[in-house]
Amino acid sequence: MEKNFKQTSRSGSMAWLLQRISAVILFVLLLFHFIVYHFLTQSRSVDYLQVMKRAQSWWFPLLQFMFLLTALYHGLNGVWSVLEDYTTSKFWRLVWYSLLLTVGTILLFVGTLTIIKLYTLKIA
Amino acid sequence: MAKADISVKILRFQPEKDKKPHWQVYAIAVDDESTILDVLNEIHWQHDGTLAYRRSCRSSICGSCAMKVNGRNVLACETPIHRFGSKLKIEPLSGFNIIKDLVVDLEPFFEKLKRIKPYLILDKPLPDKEYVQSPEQLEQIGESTLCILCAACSAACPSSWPNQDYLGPAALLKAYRFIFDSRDDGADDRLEIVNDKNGIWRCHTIFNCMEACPKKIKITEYLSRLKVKVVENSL
Amino acid sequence: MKTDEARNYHKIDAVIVGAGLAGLRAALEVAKSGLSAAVISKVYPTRSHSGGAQGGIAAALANVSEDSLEAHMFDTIKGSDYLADQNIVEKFVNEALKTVYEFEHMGVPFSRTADGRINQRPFGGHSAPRACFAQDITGHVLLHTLYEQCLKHNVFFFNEFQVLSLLIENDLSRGLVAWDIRNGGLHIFHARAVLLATGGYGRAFKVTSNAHANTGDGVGLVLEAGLPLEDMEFVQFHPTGLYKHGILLSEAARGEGAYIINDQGERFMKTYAAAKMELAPRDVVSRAEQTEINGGRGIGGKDYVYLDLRHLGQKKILERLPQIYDLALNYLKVDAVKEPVPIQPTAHYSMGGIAANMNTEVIKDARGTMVKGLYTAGESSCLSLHGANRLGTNSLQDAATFGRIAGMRMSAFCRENGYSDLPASPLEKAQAKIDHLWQKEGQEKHAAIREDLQVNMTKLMGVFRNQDDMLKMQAVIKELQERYQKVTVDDHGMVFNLDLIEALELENLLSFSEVIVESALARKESRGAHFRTDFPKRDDAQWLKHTLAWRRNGKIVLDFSKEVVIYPQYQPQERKY
Repeated sequence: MEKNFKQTSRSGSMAWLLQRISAVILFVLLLFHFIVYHFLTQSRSVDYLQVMKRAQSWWFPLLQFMFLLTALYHGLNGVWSVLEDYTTSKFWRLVWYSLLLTVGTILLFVGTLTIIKLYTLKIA
Repeated sequence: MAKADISVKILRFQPEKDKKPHWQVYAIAVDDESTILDVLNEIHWQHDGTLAYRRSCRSSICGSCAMKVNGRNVLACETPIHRFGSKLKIEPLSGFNIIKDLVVDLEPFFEKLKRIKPYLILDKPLPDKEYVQSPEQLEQIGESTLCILCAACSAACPSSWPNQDYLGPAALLKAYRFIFDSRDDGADDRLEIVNDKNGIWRCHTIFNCMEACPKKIKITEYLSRLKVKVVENSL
Repeated sequence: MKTDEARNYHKIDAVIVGAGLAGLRAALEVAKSGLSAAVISKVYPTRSHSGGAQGGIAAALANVSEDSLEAHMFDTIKGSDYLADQNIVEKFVNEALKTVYEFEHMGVPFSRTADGRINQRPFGGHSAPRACFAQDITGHVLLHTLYEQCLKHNVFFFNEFQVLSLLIENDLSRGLVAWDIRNGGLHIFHARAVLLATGGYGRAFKVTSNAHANTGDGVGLVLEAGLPLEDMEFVQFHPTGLYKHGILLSEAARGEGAYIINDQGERFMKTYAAAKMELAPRDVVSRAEQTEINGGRGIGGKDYVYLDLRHLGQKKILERLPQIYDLALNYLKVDAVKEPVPIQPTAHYSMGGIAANMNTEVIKDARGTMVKGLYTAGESSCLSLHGANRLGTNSLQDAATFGRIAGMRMSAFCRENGYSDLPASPLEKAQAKIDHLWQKEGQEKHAAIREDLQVNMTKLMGVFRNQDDMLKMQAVIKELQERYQKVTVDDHGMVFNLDLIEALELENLLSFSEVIVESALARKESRGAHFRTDFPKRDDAQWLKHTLAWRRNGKIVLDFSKEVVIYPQYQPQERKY
């Protein structure tokens, strides 16, 4: 069907929906994070052993990785949609998009590395 | 009614003389119950006939006199000067080309309205009398039909400023008004038109439009409903 | 449509002047018939003052109680103080239902009854709840819906154009000349048919509900073209104008049950219209108000009374009358839920206008000789449907119904007639008007002249008139017309020259105001909105006839030979409410 105004390549509905879904996931994860860190801790003082034990349980790295993914997606997608408002030239959009993608990839790599490191670290 | 001495700073632009808009200050005395429009009339009729602005109904229904006063988009006719004190700063609406003084080019604004097919689209046969529409169904669109197309919302929208292609809040609200009309059969058409990065997705729920609307229409809320409808429809 | 941009020349089947309800409805009809239609308007169409109409559009749908076409007809005739042409009223009520259903099918968001049909409310002078409404923004939603339909059907719009002269030769309309407000410059519109739907002329008064745009331009142009105006003395004063501003507070308030009270807090309408009280027709209520004010019973002895909505309760006020609530709050800082609203009579509607027959064809004499290809509808016209006093909600119906009829007649005319030749120098008259205002030697300001006109019209030609006042007004107008000869404007620019436009409008205001005064002076009786304290009775033996007025050699010439069309079953009788 004809859209007689300057159309873009993508509709934007999926980006919007994923932004909302990632927000909901982030919210749930944050809630979980709060409960685990602030209410399920047995003693008042948190010690190294306790933390490391949790970090090396089967569910913790999984959760952290999900956190990393959704936070990265949500944040970068948000920045991208703002950038799209203010840059209309194809060239600059490509530049910004590549930059965001690069930053995203690096952060994902660094983050994943941290999670793996924590998981595999020998507890003294 | 007492007289009030006020200072009015107006952004002037006379295209046949000026290269750029510039400020001009008028010191005048008006009744303290005056509206912004009264002030402009006073200047235009008594002090400087060259001042240009749009106005018509004086009763906040025609939408001609939307302009920026002390940083806020208002209808000049319904806005009393006492809301701003004795110093007024009057500018044309942002985001539009200035034709002259406070008169901006609204052609793009009305062009965008056309794009969303702003009329009832019907597949069903016409009844002998009226279509039945319950008060609840009417309630869905009731407030959105109050829009006077004054352009205050679009002029307040940060997403509209840098991007002339964005449909903007007024046209999108009009799309909402028809898509959610229980009598309309053209929702699919219109949803596809607004489902674009230069359509509804340029709206980032900033709420400026809602704050600027002289008719207090909850524009942002209706645009959010429109977004949900688009997603539901494309899933 | 063909446009020659170099010459600013446009050739088009039908040109419609005015983008209010009548103009847009006509344009839609022409465009739907497959012909080209262009609407010329000095404001963007959605800024037209039809949008200011609040209360409703009349049609005997009988959705909330029993009603009939006969009842609508009788109410309109009685409301008109028997000056309405009854064949016009008959045509009007017969078409009214269709007009409303058409609007509904176009998508107008009418307020609904519980079972989903168009809701109706009572209105002054109507014997049943007959006003189909959308909250209190009925005119606004009708106007916007029609504009949208016109976009759908590819009507051409020339927004912000001011018409300066009609091109008529040998009783045949050929088009018109208009000034492009936005860019400057004259444009020729060469058309087979021309419709004047330029609205009312309330701007001749200081206290008025009318928009700045309502300067009766069409009425002035017709007078200039040597054609007659009809019943111009009948100017309706609306009883509920917002105090000091004159802005309209819809009769819908009283339709929903609001009271009007004086300084003693009494509902004084019981003295003037015991049966109908606040819902008597507007001329009756305005006179009652003015009598109270003149008798020192205005609030605090001043020149206003109260419109009291408080007993309706917050819910009903905000649901049914939100605009009225906002207007009172914004302009007078009055919270209508808690306080009564100061009101005064305000110049509101022009029953008179361009003389035309039941097919909206403009006529040139009392015999009804037509000016071919020239039409008029809506408030600028006088068909005459409203006679000496219009009932509320009949105006939107009038504009829409006769707008549609005008569109149909124009389409038919266009199919049978080609383009007539333009006069030898079509731009001459329009150019002379502009040149006159750009003359260097003038020293009069249009604003000062207009202010003098408006203040005096409100003071001397208001709800109550008498010979002395009107003679004074006659002298004032003569003086102002002389001053206008020396008028000049500050702004000599081409682009959006508001100064120039206002000066051009003033010429029209001065021109037809003279007709109002001359017609009112001549009519030595009181009928409908025209009330003379020196002739306080209606005089059917002498004055049951229309007033036609021409400008000939600079003087207003009157003619009273146009009879009122009266059916045997609706003979004039005493008017009581």
